[in-house]
Amino acid sequence: MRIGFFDGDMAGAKSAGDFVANAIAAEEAGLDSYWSLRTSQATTP
Amino acid sequence: MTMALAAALRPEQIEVGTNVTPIHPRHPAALAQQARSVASLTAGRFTLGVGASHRVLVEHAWGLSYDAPKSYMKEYLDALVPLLAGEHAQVAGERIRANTHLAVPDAVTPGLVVAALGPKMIDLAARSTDGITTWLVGPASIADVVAPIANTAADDAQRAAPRIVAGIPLCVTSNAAAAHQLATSLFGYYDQLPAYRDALARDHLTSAADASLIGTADDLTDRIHAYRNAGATDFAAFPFGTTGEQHNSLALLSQLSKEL
Repeated sequence: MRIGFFDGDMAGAKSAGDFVANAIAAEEAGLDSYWSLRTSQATTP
Repeated sequence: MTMALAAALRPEQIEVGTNVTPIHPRHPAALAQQARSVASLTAGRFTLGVGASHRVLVEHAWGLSYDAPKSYMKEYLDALVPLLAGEHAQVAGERIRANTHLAVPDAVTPGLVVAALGPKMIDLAARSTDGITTWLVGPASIADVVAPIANTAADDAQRAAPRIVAGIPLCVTSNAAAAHQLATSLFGYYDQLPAYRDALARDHLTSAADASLIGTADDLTDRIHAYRNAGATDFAAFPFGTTGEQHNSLALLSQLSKEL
């Protein structure tokens, strides 16, 4: 089973830099995938 | 998808995907054009996740029709799938029309998965794409509903075994009560959406907080293994909680990625 990081702003606004930082952290942790969800509900910083 | 591209350019190896891009605000040709461009810039590491979203967003936030979301998705995929592959799309549906192809130099066909919670959307996704992505669906539903329907549909369509992505909030913590309370606050929105209420009910749950994985690393390891045993091909966790708890959750995912 592949292990991934599911990132998103559905639980609160995140900046573009937050997403990129999490993608880098996911790769450094050796995960297989990084999934992003940019919702319409959250305010985009 | 812009965010997915930005996230993909710094890491060099990890697969990056959208989970998910709502289909209603975008014509399939526009979405395919963007996805093929991202795929070409990420050397095949990109997977496009699409979904029909929810009536409250499509109608109330965007002012579009949410009528018959499954048939709309079918027409949408009839156009999107060939366009992603660099082929001509010829669709004259009730709501989607397309007569075009895309020329994107050096393009790589991206992976494609569809957000699906109910049986009909699961069947459609497995017949037409690389697989299904879920959110807040537990191992019991994956074993009893998602995997059997998806595998049967893919087999019937003579496609490879479908990808089944299980997306779940994760908090590695020694304070489960506080984390559950936080999950209720963060994810309570999903409890109000009919598609999630139905999916949670199949797992005999009533809230997204109850579907979240909360506990110590030792407790959660077996619960994550249950997703694999149920038929999930991917476990995608949304780390939440304090900074320390999120760090611990990522550490658990790192450990599991080496084991599984």
